Amino acid sequence: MRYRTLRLAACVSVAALLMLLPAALGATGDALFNGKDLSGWQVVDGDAATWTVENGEIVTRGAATGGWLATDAEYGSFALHLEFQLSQVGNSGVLIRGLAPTSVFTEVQLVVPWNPPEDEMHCTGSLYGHVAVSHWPDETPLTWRTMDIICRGREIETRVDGELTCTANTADVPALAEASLVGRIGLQSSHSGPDEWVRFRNIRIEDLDTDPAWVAPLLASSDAKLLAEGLRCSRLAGAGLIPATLQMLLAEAAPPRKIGEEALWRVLAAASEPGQETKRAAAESTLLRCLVEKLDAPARVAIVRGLGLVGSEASAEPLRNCLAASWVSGPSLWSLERIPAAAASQALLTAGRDTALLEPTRVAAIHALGVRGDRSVVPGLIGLLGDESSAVVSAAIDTLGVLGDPRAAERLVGLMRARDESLRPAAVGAVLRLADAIATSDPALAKTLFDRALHAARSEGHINTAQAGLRRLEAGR
Amino acid sequence: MTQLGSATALGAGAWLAQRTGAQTVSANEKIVVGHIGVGGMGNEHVNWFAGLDDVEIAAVCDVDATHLQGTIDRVGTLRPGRKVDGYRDLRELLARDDIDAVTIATPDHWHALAAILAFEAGKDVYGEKPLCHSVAESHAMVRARKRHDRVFQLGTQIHAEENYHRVVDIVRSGVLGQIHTVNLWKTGGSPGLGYPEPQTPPATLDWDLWQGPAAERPYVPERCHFSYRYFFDYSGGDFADFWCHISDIAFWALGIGEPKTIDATGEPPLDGIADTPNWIDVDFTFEDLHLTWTSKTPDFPGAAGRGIGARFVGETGTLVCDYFSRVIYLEGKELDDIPEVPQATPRSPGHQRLFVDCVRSRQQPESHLDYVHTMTLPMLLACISFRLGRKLTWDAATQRFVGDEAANRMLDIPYRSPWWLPA
Repeated sequence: MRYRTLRLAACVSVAALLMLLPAALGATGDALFNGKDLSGWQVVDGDAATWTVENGEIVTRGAATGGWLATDAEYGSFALHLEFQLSQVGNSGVLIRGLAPTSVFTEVQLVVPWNPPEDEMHCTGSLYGHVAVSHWPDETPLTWRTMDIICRGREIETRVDGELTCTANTADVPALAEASLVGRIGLQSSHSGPDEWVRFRNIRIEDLDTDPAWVAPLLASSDAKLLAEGLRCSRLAGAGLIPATLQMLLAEAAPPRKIGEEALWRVLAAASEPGQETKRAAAESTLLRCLVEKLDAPARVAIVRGLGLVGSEASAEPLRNCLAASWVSGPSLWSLERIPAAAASQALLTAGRDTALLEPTRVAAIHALGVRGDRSVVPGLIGLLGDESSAVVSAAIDTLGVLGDPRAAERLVGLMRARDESLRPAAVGAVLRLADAIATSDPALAKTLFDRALHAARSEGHINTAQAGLRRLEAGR
Repeated sequence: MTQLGSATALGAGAWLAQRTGAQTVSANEKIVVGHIGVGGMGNEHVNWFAGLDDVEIAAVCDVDATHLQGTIDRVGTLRPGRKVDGYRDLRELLARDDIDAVTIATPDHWHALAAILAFEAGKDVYGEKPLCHSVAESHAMVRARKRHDRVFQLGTQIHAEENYHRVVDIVRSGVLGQIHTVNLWKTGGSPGLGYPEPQTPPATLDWDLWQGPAAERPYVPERCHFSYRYFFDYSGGDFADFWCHISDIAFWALGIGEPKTIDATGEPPLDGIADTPNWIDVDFTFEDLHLTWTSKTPDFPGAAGRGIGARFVGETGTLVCDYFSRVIYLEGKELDDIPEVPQATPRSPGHQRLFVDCVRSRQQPESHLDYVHTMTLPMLLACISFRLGRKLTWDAATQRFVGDEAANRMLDIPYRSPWWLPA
């Protein structure tokens, strides 16, 4: 049922979702300014001395030398809340979606009433020069006022002292239609005179970019810029976005499947970042939970593949349980091959022994053990040399050669004369590999093995390899 | 059954006769060659090798019967009178003991396995670029070539051109001063390829064998011939393809080692099933060298009009080149050569000619495996950085990324059963 709900959520349009959000959610968001110093902020295109922190307020003074104070982080969709106070002839602004160092941004104006040009397109709360206010707020200086800026994709809304001042859809504003939908949040320096100043305090943000309920509908958008935002935010939204992306993989149409795959990959790539163990564990447990839901094939294949990137020991048995179904066995084996935990080696060895599995699956599980290079499975592989399936035995021979463990030497040499003639070339190949692996640590045994292999060899390739090995041993002596 | 198949078993008489004279080709004997993968570049291989008098073309191989027949017919025209055998499965071609060397022009995801199977079968290899598809494959190739004592040349034929040799002369002469920055570029990126519906593969195509070790996917023509390049299942896009040609001049001239950090940014196309970069920028740091890649035209002098190129920035001068031309900025002048710089780099007799000479002499040619492994590695690492969307730190001593478990998992691209990577 959980997925049915999410499927519906994914169909809800961005516009409809906007209506569900409270108006001034920024007032309860995270603090962007710690009240003590400017950590998390940096001055762009200006003199850092212009900016100070006093009494829990950010203060900017002087003429136009201060550039803008930008957040280190970038934000696309958010609700920003702050309080500001302007001096007698104050002129400043809150900058959104700012790009540094190029200093491109959209400005929400903060100004006093007698600063030209004194119109709705340039007053407090306007998107300066682009979108006029619908309500001109009180601009009396030397007064603390609140500013709320709510950006949801292309929708921008500003409020001063809680009253709506401006709404815009950037798609309808030619100058903003191609503007970036993501960037830094900035405070503009005071720039109306050397004795003027601006103060900011209580700066808070509600970050929608990290909210799966906000990001999922963006992924379904036909607007290329909103879609790009959805994909960017997929890295930020975390494991909560995984179920929605899996639903996209089950869509009838191809484009949502592609976007779903891309978004899921980004969620997992972000979860796999170093130092993000909590995120990784959340992604893994979400994938494992979704695996139990018995979703249709494309989603289950994606889950199993995803575990190859973020899976741990906890994924070993669930992945082994996927090996019975041929359509998902390949990706399950690859993920087991990649998970470094000892439990994954054991799961692969168990699969190699499991006569209930299809023979190619058993063979592939055994070869995967060779790639992992984990010699703890050598005794188990030697045990498989007596298996009834010659394909399984052959794979065990290959893998014992690759692992290069001398414990297997005697059995491999014997198999060069195996009654089942089809096993002999694999055994010669494995003895040659093993000889090579131990050439430095035990040159005497290596020489014996090369000699025995040369004697047993029946193909030009094996003869060549044995002779090359002997030449190298001779040269190394 | 091994990957080489039971067909490698010979009668006792045959192997005894071989044992004495294995692997030596007398100067009078022709080098017998087989061509694997003859849909695109493989036909260039046929042209080139047919142009060498001391080479005999004995066999060609392709999983697409249409390609195969077309090439058999063409060899018949180029080399009348000699019967050429056709194979669908490369294991059958490799089982032939009369063949000394093979050329490989399959899609990228087959490069390493085909080369290693050829090494195992005692064949020398002229392999198309890019070298391979994963770091694990590159290591396996290096080990296998050494273990089987084979000759390998990568198909970077631009390497043999006069221009690259001259650029090496000039850069190594020191006239540009110490080189601190190299900028590489190739404009353009992956198209999206739309959303074609899966189809039944044509009867002439063995889709399962074409996929080989790669992930099982439904057949759509766009995934197969030519545009396979735009899928990470098989390749790494134009970046992977052209890196090999243009980074070659930098690695050759400067003897660059392995990168310390790799930071790729870019996007895949979003208007179709392709997933390799629509654009990609990469920033590499090496010991004493900064190296960049971009898929856009750089804005420095010499880049305009060059769809692919390399710029060497030295303390005293700059050189910009592409495959066949170069421009040098030195002391305020714009030059196409510096006659005072002696011709210090031995010239190539031709990329394929050199390979065949090395098959006889048992020397390694210019684009030998150890060299092209080092040259290819940054590209393979950058594909991982691109896919994970983060900067990576590489440790050459352990051949692992530092502190990034997920990135390390991507050093190996697992093989689909029944194929496995012989290490």
